[in-house]
Amino acid sequence: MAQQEAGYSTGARIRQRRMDLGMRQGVLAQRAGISASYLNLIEHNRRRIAGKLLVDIAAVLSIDPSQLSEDTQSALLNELRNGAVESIAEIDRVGDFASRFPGWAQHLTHSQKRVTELERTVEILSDRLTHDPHLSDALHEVLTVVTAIRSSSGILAGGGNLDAVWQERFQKNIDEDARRLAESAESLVQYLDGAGRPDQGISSAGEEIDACFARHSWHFEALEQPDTPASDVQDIAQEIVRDSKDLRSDGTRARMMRHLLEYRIRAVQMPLGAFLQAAAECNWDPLALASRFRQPIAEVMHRLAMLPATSPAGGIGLVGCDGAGNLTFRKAPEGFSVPRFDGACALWPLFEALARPDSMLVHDVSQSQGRGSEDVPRFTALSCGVQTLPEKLGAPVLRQAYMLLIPQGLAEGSDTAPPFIDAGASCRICLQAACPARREAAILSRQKTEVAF
Amino acid sequence: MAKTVLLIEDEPNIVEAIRFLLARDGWRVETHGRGDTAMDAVAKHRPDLIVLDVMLPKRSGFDILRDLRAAEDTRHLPVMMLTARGQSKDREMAEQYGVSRFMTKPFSNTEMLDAVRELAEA
Repeated sequence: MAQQEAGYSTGARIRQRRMDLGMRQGVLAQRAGISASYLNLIEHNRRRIAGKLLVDIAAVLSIDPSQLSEDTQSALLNELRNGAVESIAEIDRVGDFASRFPGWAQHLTHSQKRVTELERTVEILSDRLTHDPHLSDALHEVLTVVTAIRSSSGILAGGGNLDAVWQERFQKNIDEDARRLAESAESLVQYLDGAGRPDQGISSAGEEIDACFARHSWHFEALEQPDTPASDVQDIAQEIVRDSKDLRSDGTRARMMRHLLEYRIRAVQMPLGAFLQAAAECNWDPLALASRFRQPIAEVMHRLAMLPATSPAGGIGLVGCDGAGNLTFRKAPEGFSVPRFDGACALWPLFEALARPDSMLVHDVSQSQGRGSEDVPRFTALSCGVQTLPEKLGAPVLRQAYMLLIPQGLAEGSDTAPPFIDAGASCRICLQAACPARREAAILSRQKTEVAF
Repeated sequence: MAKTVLLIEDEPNIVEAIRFLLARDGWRVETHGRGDTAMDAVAKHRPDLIVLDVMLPKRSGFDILRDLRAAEDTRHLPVMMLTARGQSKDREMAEQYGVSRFMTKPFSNTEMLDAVRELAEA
């Protein structure tokens, strides 16, 4: 396996980078303060490397440590594969490409993302141009008035013996139409302006809200002060929403506002200092915290996932879905990717939780996609399904499920090992060979990948 | 005797301009501003040529064209359609229904006059 994984490994990337710089093994070892033979072991993946030594070696190689470390690299490779099409003959050299030209690879994935976004925009806009009754009406109005003006002015400009009565009549018509044209042009411009900041769903509301949360690292210090009066809270939340360029429609701004007010309620019910202390005491167990703070489990899970990024709990992720399996909350922890457009991996215990509401499922998950590499981060996944009681008799019961992803090492392990699930992110980019839950073929076949890595 | 053109169009200022142009060119011009009663106006005025807008209140120009082509009396009557949307879809549909000529708004007065003259001579 180690051989096959060579394209991924930190060791291989160190070696590649060193050779690109024309630096001898002994020189790098000396500057990094280790023996040449130890460096040799690292470069051949016989010794794991992380932490300070990785940083030191990266510094000697004048490269960002993240570009040598594997998590970022496998995320990058996933992105590259996701954006690649089957027709690229050199796809099996993606690992090689990413390690040798990390900057270009990054740039390529950014461009790919941008292209996907733009393609969607074009699709929606062209659909709108064809089917949007408002736009077509507005254009029709403009063209109609222009036609009238053109004809009337043509008559006036035609000269000849146009008598005064007709002259006056067409002048009056032109004046009338000119006013009307100004108005319809203005309304058209307003409409098109609005289309640029799409109220009608160019980017999905979910993405805009994710982007807003991410920009604040999923934590809002301004909403944490327990003695802020309610009216000020409203103002603070409104200010956050107003300052968020990610939110591009009234609909998403209103939704973000609700998220923030819910956040505030959690901040009051589970004050930051007390909660952090209790969470550590309870070994990050959401059930114990729910009973200690007398809060619904879903609220506790949200609170756990939205602690300050700098606290030990900053790395906790949370994924939420509705009863149809659509992802409604996406805080992806480092090393676990959550798809934005495609459907998520059906192996996630999140979906099992939908079917088993009101119990807490415990799993040990990773996204090694069957590669079984020990370098892929593992998480304790705590999944819980909840039902919202109907507003009144006869109204529908709404189900949600949440999956808390606690990086391994944060909580102390229990005596009994939870079941292990080797999942993926989304079928299209998943390498898992024989997966019973596969919905569509991966862009890469397993065979191809094995040859490469 | 002057030939009669029936202008079926709901924009009063366009009607006024076209009416003036065609009248000055020697036509007797009748006008009608609604889709649903357009066929009655055709029966009443028995025009030699029809200028027909696509977007009319109550009934579309396409439906009127179809009726005109279905009726014995008007099967071969020259019909020029006006549309504000220069979309190929509209043009295709009009051609399918048997339009004689197609004119896209905004047109120039000369274009309009030339087209009407050509249609009348054909």
